[in-house]
Amino acid sequence: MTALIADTAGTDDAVMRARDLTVEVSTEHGWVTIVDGVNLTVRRNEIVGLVGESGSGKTVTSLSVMGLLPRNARITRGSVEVMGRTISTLTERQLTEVRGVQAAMIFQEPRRCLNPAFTVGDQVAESLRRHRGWSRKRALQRTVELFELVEIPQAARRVKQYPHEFSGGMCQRVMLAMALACDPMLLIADEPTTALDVTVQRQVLELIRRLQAQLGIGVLLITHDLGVVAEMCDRVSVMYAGQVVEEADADTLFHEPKHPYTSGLLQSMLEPTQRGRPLGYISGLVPPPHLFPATCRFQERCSYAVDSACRTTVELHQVSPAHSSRCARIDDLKLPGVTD
Amino acid sequence: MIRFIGKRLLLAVPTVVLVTFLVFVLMELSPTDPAVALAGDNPTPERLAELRHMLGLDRPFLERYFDWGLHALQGDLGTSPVTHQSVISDLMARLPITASLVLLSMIFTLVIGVGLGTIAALKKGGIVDWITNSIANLLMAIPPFVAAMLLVLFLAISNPIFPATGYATLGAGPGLWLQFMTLPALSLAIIPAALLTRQVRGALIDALEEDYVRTARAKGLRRTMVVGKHTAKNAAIPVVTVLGLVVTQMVGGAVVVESIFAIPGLGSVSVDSVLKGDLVTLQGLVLLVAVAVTVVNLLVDASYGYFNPRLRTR
Repeated sequence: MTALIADTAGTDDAVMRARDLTVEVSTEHGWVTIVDGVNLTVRRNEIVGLVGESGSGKTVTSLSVMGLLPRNARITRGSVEVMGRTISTLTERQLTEVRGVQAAMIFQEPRRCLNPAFTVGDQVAESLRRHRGWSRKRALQRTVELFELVEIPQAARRVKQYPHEFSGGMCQRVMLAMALACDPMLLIADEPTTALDVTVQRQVLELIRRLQAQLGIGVLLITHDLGVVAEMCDRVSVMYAGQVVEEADADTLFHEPKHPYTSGLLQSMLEPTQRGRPLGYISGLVPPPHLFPATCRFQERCSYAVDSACRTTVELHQVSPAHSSRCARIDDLKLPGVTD
Repeated sequence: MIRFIGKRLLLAVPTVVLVTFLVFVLMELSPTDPAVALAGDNPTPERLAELRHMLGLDRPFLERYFDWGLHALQGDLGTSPVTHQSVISDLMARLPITASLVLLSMIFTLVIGVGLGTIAALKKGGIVDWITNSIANLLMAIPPFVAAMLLVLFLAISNPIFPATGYATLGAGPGLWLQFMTLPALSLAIIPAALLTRQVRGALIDALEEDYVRTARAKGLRRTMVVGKHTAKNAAIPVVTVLGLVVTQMVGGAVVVESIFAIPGLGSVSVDSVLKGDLVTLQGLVLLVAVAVTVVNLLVDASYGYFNPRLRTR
């Protein structure tokens, strides 16, 4: 199973590739696996969605790509490569050459992510001064251009302002300008619009999509919102309890889900065109990492679970060259997707 | 920003007036009669009455206070009945001595406090953190006069590196000045440095957990830049607040330390004037200290605006 997904993705265009990535954290229950054997590839010119509930391991996966795992976490198996460089083998100093230059990241709650004590222009220019060695003046000039690129009006005036003078959506644009300052080929967006107003969400998402196409970069979009995935992503990986449970191109995933979890998520989506349809839901919660079952991890919440097949470890099965699912009943289940 | 400072200055005036008034009241209530103190042994009642008149003590309390206040506004703090010198010129001659003591002490405080606090914060939970914390707790319990004695014992008597007492002006050469000032400044700096260590540690640990630190790391900044720039400016506000408090405490501590090391600064003057019942000098001294403390607080307030831009727009 390890090699399957990595090999189906194009080899040369990959800007980021996780192979069998396994991460443990130190907890009161000892070292506990929170990300288990994740394979994930992001290529140029595509947006890959990483979907899952809270606690599914999607943020930890993205932090390990940046080498930003907290001190109580460690990669115990597998690897992450960014532009061909294996992150876990790099020293902290070498990592600072990758971050911001080859891979950049934006986060939830953009206003908290900007330093309140410095002007936004200074914080964007800082990246250029650090990585390009530019003077303050030159970096600030480029920052104005970057602000125009992310559609911040009155860029020349705005660079001199502080984060508290910006709205949440504008702060996320500043974060984007900062992330793109040194032309990285990979942008990781971790729930970039979750904390924003609905109207602003759409603007920021459209901006990310436009910039992705314009710059030809690869984007790893982490979200719990399948509506966002439907609008944005070319391919999708669904994570549950630290594992990828289904991977497919967005269209296939939405119409022919092959994992009961994906299907359940799709049924619980709000769709304005289908008023009156009873809203689906998945009962129960994601188990905490120290209680991840050794069987199929979704089994306890799965309405299709049968004792015989689901009480064992389930590997990722290939449905078609670009579609795999971690379901034991992959051949005999016909799962509902979205209906157009 | 200028409006902000102007407003603070205006607010500071009543504070200073109130302080001087309260001290005037306290001296009125004090059992020390300056006339008795001045008159020497077995004075006749006539002699005491004469002295009281000379000191103006026979006039009503409020009249004396306003009279003193009006003169003080013109820079005249009166003449000491003990030394027969102008109080303002005496104080101004000694002010640089105490100021330089407090300044050197502040430098020690900053270097020790910021240094140890930063190391402890970066090694949070480790053995280094535990050691610095224990040392800080221990030092916090050592009052300046004990610290002074111990420092003299070990660094002046057992190992004569520094002189035990005395003073040299900065004009005599910075090396000589530093030799005399190091021990007094160090004994004055110990508690503030311990206090600051804990404050810096706490403020830095809080700042390091902020989301913007993750952003700074995600853009590839080196650790020195993340800590030295991004967390430092945000952690500075609680630290500066403590520094402001520490300076005012040092002025009090200087009284003790100057006596121990025989430094002729404002602390010595205050002890002398209390012992000799020289209320005129004492009153001038209180005014000077009140002004100094007010200025320090003003600087602390003004620095908030620099460290936290959100305050500027209000």
